[in-house]
Amino acid sequence: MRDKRNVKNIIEALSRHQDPDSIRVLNEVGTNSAIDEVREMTSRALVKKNVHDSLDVVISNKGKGINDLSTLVAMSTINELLALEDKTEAIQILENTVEMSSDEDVRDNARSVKALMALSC
Amino acid sequence: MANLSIQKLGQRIFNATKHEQTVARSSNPFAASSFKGNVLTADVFETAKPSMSEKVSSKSKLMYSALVGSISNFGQRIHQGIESITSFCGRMKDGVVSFWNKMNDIEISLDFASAGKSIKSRWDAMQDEHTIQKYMSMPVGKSEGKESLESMLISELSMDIAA
Repeated sequence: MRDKRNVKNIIEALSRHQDPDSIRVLNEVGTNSAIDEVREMTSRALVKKNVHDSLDVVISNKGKGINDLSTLVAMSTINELLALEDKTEAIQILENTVEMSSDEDVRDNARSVKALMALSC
Repeated sequence: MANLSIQKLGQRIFNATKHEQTVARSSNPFAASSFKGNVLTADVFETAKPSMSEKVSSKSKLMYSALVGSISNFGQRIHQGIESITSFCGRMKDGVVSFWNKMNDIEISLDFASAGKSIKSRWDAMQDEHTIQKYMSMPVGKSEGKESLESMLISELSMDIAA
């Protein structure tokens, strides 16, 4: 595997970018990568953005962010959520996911992460 | 002590005028309290002193015994001296050996490798930050041109898959 340094820099630049299209790029390209490390970096970048659309990708989408099949990706995303200074938007999306998601696993994950975030506040 | 009898002492104590007359002719101001006229002819602290010949003989005996003693101890002293030199050398050898062992136990390592890594990681972080700042000024979507972050990311990831 090649050095991920440039990939990491591009993802970091997308996470800091003010253009809303950066969320789409991260969602379409990063979270669908076959490489765990890239998915992990992308999920963390989306959480760091701390806006509704980016948090929605990693919380309520099956197979992405906290619902990723890779434990490393899921735990890293949860860790990044817990490290957020302003957790208001994340808790709101978690509550919506617990109430409205059609997938039981997604609901359970959202409930667990919400409990963790409530404890960390 | 022969002339200083109790009777004479009594005369001196109880017949003071006679004594004062004698004192008055004296030019010595301390005569009144002196033993003038009462000469001690015998040494009351006299002990049996050894004669000169006895002194010489006893002194010689001491000297000779010391000399003989020193001669008889001479070989022993040389032996002791040699033993002390031997033990000193032994101690020195033990000291050197223990010092060498300690020096072998002490692991002196100048960790140039970790210092170099730290400098390199800082340099890399600085370069990364510069690159990120450059990327942030670039367009995001690939529809905006070939030099976009999306196209760059796809290119990097496809290279990963190809590799």
